[in-house]
Amino acid sequence: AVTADGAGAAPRGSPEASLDPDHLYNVLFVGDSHVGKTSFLYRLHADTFNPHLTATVGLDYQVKNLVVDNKRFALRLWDSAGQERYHSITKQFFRKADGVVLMYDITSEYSFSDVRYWLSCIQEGAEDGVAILLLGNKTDCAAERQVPAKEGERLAKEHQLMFYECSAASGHNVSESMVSLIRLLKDCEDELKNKAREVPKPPQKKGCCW
Amino acid sequence: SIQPVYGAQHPPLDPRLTKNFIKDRSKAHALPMKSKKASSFHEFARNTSDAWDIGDDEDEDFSSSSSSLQTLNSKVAKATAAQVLENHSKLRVKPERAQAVLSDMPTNCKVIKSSSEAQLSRTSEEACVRTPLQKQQSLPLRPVIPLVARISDQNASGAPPMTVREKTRLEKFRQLLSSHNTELDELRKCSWPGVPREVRPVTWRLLSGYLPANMERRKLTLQRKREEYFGFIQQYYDSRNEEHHQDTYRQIHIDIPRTNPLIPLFQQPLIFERILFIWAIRHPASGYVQGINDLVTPFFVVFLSEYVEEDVENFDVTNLSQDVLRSIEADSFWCMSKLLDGIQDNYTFAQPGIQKKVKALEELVSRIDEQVHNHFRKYEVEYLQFAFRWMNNLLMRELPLRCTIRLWDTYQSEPEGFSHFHLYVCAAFLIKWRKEILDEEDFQGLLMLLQNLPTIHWGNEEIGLLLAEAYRLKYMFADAPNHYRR
Repeated sequence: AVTADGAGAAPRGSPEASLDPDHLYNVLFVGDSHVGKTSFLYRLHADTFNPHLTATVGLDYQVKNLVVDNKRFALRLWDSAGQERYHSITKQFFRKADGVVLMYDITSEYSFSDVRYWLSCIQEGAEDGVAILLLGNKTDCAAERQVPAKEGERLAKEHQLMFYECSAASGHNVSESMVSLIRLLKDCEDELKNKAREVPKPPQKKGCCW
Repeated sequence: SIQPVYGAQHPPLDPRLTKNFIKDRSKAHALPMKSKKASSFHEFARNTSDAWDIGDDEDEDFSSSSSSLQTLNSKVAKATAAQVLENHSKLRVKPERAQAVLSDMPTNCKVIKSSSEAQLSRTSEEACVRTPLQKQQSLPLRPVIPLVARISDQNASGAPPMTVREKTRLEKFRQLLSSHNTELDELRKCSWPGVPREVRPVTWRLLSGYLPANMERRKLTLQRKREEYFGFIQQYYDSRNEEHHQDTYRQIHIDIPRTNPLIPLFQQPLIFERILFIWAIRHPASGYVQGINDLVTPFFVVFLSEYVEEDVENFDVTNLSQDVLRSIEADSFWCMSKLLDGIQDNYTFAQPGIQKKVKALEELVSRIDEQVHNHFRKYEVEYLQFAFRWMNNLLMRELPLRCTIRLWDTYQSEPEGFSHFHLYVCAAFLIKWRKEILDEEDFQGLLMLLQNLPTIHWGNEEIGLLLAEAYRLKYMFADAPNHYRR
């Protein structure tokens, strides 16, 4: 039940067309420098690999529309800079994220050991109940692998994260992981709504704009 | 009463002396800048660029004689008319230009399609007939701006023949540069509206404070500084693999291939790695921060142009002798260091310089263009979301390299050019797109626009207008810094 992109897209300005997606989520991409955050987003966006991307500075933004389980979803994807000096900027955006994609590079032990650091940042900065997807990128570079898939799985289990290995270069698991993330985000949202119903004074639904 | 236009000097006009300003002045007092419309930017720019058309050496005449003022006025009228005609013809030409740029990209159609989907609202059929501006906006998520494309405009080959005015200007520079003791104030004044490419390398060395004004000391200084730099390399470069420098070196090492990745000129890892590594370990408070790698580029290209006749862009650096390459490397290092000295707080912990400037930009824009400011508020666009990069990379990611080089002519002639004047340039740059901004009616459209501003065809003319507007803004707020604080 997955259709890539604008099944219901209608020309801008046509009044009868409901252009609003059924659900809209903010998703922040974090992880060490050069693990492939921008390449992953480029693959998701253009369905091709671009080896000539410059290093991200500050934040980049794009939107991806997906139809999953017959519902229209819009993901606001925020690409952050991995270098440590930028973390104080990135942290300002955790609070508003509905989901976080935490990426490491399976050919870099170093980037994997930093996953714990990033998890502590998320814990500190993001709302409780934020959906987290752990991604091990660069499966196309099997020969240089330093982090066994089992290690990733173990860490994900320990912290109750959704986990995929993927490759921005080959496209492996790129849309699959995004679809799973969407379902997770939807579950989180439903759970939040249910909670809100139980509580007499419902907390405001988390803002969709930042 | 007609005010003397002795603004034919540079920096250009004292805005308080122009007629427009006098007319608006009472209003401007009551509501600082609020009544300003975008049109006055063009008026001012036209005035100033006309003023620049008159030779520098005629300055005194204008301020003292009223008859020459009348001549000036008719000149201004003529020039304005010419400008209007030129603009009109350009308007017609531009779409074709943009088309040509687009057709060079094989994946174009696909990209447009997917981003039109991303925009939630357009069918792919529509995307094919959109205007060039929109097409440019919808280029891939991170358009790799061809940094050096059309840099040939500024090279010997393919450049149009020099006008009389350009010849006179070049002559003036040559005089200044060859005098026993170069008058730096005068050199700054001349450089503000752009340095002729023939004399840019030496002018930049002087403006940055790297080269002494005294002619006799220059050769020795250069020799000494270059030796000093290579001394640093001998002393420090081997430490790159030591534990305490490993992170720094690793980051530089992965960033170099990502600096202007499409231009073979920059696939010279060793030179750039050494420059950045040496700078980083000598400045531990900031260390190496992504973005600094971009800042070497203009120096490298300018100093390289001293030795290369053809297009710098396609030049194979390995054709140069070791000595020449070493000089370029050392000079780039020292000039970049001078630049960074002025903006180091952009790159220290938590990047206070950038946070401060983004905040200042927001306040400034809220004063000079309330409509744009409110538009951002309405759609919950935060300045940090787009302007962080403007400050961190000095607009280098938003402009073609030839424009950055021209911009730096002025930044190096303006007191606190990189650290302070840049803020006004950013404000002018933002307001330049006010129409496009106000046309966008959702968060997404705004962010996509602001991240992909269509400057790909920009050249000296656009930067000249931008700088004139920035100068005007600076002037308005310089004596009253609280004006932009709410």
